[in-house]
Amino acid sequence: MRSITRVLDRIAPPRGRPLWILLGLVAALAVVDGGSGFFFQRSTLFSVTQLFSTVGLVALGLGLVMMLHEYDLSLAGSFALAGIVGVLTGVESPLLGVACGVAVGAAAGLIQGCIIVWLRMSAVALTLGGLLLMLGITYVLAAGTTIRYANRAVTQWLQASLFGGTISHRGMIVAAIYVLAALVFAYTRVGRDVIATGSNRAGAAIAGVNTDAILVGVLTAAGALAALAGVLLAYSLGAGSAFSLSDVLMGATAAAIIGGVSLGGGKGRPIGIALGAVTLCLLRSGLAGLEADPAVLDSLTGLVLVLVAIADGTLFGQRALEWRRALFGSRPP
Amino acid sequence: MIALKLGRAVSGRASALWIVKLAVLAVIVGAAVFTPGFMTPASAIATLDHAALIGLVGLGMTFITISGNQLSLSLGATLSAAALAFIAASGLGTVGACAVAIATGVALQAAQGFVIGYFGANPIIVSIAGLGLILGIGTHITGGGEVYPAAAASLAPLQSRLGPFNMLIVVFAVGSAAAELLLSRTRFGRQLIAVGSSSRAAIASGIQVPMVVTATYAVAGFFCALAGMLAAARFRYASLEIGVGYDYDAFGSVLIGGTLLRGGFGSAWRTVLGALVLASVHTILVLRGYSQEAQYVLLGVFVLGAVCLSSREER
Repeated sequence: MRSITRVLDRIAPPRGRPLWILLGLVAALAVVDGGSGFFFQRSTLFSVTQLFSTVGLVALGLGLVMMLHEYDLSLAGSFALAGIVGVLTGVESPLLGVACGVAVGAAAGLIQGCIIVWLRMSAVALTLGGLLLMLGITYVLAAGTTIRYANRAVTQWLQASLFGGTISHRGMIVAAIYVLAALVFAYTRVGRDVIATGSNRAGAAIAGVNTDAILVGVLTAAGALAALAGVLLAYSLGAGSAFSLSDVLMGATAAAIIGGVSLGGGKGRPIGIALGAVTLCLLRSGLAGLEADPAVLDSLTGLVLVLVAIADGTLFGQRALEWRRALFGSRPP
Repeated sequence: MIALKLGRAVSGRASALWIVKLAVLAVIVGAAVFTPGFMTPASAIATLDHAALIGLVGLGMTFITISGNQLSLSLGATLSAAALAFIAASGLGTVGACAVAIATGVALQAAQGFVIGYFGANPIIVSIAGLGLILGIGTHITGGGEVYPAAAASLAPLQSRLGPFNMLIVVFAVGSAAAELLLSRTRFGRQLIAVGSSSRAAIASGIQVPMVVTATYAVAGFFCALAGMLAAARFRYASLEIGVGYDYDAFGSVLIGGTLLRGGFGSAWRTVLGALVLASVHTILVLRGYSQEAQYVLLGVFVLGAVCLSSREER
């Protein structure tokens, strides 16, 4: 028992803020539900885990990049391109399709990471170029339409529900990857090196961290994770198609920030990102129960992202202090 | 003295950069000369027309890049929103419809600029959220379809021509001159460049940084709105799809022009040049029968190349 709590201590997010946000949302939804039962049912749980298995992997990859005080726009490209590549190469052997898709994402991350390290440049601009290139290749491969994935058995297996209809095989795969990431982050040097590099790159390098290798490695891993999410989604929808930038990145960024990652770098844990992603999926599923227009749900994610971006802004603390002084006079709090 | 400068210019990294740039330019010029049909008046007008549309958004992006906020991914969506507002307000007459479109574009971007300037929020994230919000709310209002004007007559002035040039090219020419003057000759322009060079130094010298950043995005929204209403008048309808992808072309033209990505340096004429280069490449590809998809790939290569070259220059 004590060993379990020790493991939990080690992999749990700092001070549990993401957990409190999640519990607060559950409580709020419970109040809205008011015993009518539209929220507390198994199908809600299934839709949360389904949404989670799409958003979660991109959020994990993007969160790791954000911990390094960088941002990777090309993950949206890896997501879309890998989906198409997986559909094209994986009809006979789905594992081959997954391998090809993930290899594309990993290669994109690796190449961009090497260029960023070599030229010492900002990741945002370079990954915008990578995004455009990959979206272009996606359009060329898909010829502007969706490509059907003919292997129905794989689609059915990925979507099959387990544990009384609460999670699909796809959800289990994503959850397993999160557990793996959390353990690697907690029990190997990689986790500490990522946090150190994100907090202070020059300092970490002086302290003996190979910051270039960390950056290249994280971008490669993020590309591979986004690609895996893309392939899994294409397989379970039975079709590969192009996605818009905001579809992929909006939810993933919001999930990472809610999960305790800061755009300033040096903060966050995989389990925190998982909680952030679950929070976002729960919000969406809970409101979908109110039969809102899907477009409204999309804009809700945008609104959440604006709010967390404000809370994460570099001047937010200063502005909050100014407001407090303006409201309560100038005495120190 | 001149010999010394020349000697410095032809040695080392700077010369390597120039060789790459001249080589790319030579390839484009060569392709243009050897593409049948490029050196005709019709193709020149088509190229100018395309350059005007991406250039107007590019002028807006120039202000954002110079202010040190790199890029916005919501300019294309703002263009669409302004086009929709223009068509929806076409019953108010030409002036009324233009005013509504410009107000829409300015408000959408200024709101993002305020969040970025006042709270220090990350500009990329805010623009992604802005993109999602505009697309989401826009889809909810329009149902995702096309919107047609109630009074087509109010579109007519924007469809008129000045000699061989259509209204889009005329507005782009005037807009470029105005943007150049705004950047180089006004107090706002100098404050913008100061904020882009060093935000902290700008605060220390008494510049109201949140105000300047908000105004920067408002200007960007204004240029997107110009592009949006001219595009809507051209196509005689508007939809959320109308502006998709223009952010990328715009950012490409800013970087190809040589405006620095880290902020604090750049100009409108550079973006005009960049837009002309991109539009020429586009015309060459169309004349040679390449698909829309292939053009996307090439734009990606161009942006990647321009980003890498620009980062070499910044050191």
